[in-house]
Amino acid sequence: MDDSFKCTECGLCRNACPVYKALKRETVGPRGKVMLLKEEIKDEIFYACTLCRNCTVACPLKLELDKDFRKYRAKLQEAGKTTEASKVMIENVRKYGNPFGKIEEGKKPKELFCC
Amino acid sequence: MFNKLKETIGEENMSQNEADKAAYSSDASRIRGKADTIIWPKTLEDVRQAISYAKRHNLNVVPRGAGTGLAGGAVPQDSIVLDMCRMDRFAVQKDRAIVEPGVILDNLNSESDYILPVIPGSHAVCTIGGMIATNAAGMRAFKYGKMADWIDELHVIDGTGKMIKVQGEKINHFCGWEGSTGIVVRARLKLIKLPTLRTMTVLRFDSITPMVERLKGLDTSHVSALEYVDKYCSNLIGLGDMNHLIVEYESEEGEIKDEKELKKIWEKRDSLYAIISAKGYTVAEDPQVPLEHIDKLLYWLQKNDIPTFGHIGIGVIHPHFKKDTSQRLVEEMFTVVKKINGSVTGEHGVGLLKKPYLEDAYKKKIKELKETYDPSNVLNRGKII
Repeated sequence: MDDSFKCTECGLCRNACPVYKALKRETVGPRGKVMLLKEEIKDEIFYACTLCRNCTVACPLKLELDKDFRKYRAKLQEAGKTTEASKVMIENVRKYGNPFGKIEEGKKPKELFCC
Repeated sequence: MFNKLKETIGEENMSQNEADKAAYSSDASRIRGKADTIIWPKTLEDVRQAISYAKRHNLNVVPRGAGTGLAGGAVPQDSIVLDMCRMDRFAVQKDRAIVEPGVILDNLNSESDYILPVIPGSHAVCTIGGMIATNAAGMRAFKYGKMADWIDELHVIDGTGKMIKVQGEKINHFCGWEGSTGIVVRARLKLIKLPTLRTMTVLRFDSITPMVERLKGLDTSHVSALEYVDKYCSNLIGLGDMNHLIVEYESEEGEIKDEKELKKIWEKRDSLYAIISAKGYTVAEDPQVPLEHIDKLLYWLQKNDIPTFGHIGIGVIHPHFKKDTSQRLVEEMFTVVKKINGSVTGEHGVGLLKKPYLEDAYKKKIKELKETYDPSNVLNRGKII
């Protein structure tokens, strides 16, 4: 979690984050997640990241927070903390090679939210 | 306890979970506080309900914009945090804009050919509400002044839960008081036509005296920004081992004419706070001093190895201190600042960081305003005074 601990909490990444922009909640933005890591709060909110790296582009220090969030997700997974949607997606990938599950010929995948 | 409020505001717009409380416990000052409840109001009625509820139950309310403040103005003290970011509707009509407090400055300024010319370093994320609360200045304050100069009218909810519409001189009862006299729920702002021509000259100086002499003699009739970056900071952003004055013109006068080159220099300047902070200089100050004596302060900062940059054109500079050594040095710096008739804050506000150094006249003024607009001390309790 090296980069998270280098974060200066300036907040300049906020508006670059698509999850923050959709939900307008500090907790889901990159800085919010960094605060949670620093306080060692284990929360499923770490699944609410698209790993798009827009926060790195906006960050004056070019910190790669997505790598930390990815690592933390693995820890959550090991601890059995996961979301229902994640379980469905994993199962679908295993069964059908597709997170949306079985899609009939000519049909579109249904909407699926992970958080 | 909050059941009644939940019914009015909606359960989905309130939280007391540990993750939310942690995320809202601080702002860019990195001063840690404690959030009790987070509310995301969507309407001015939500704000009114929250304030009235807090007043009835002797709770306190901290308004929050983007949380980019550097003085701890949005750090909760066992408080209800009102995150204003979902109140983000706005309408631009030529040179006027009606905005809600959660509107992001860059979003407003990319809407049309008319812009709000007050540009803090955090322009990509900062909200209009936060800018009003701190009376923000920023890069182009030399030409365009501070936020208060650009407000036509404010709608605020005061500490009694009453909505007030203010214009003229009364705007100063709310602008710059960090939400401690009232929470802005709507504003009518003045805009200007986007300047089409900008050029820049970057001046380099080995020492402070010739730089200040040059500054005093500069023809500033077309200058829109006048920034100082000391040697240490210049090195950090690749400008080289010299003191720098960045002079932006809204005319042909500047040597650098290429728009992309200008943008690159401003981006470097915007990134300075985070870069210095990452080097351990996490305490950012913002004294404002008269230009004729600024050399005394700059020499003191240089002697004490304090990295500094800032809006030298208006006498506001940003010295950065390391947390472990900050108290003694900050106290010494403010002694110098007061000796040359300066003030402890030029644009960041008082928040928690500058409370101990506040001038008596400032304290007297806020006490009077609190008595008028927030006698129960519901709004941003524990800040400023």
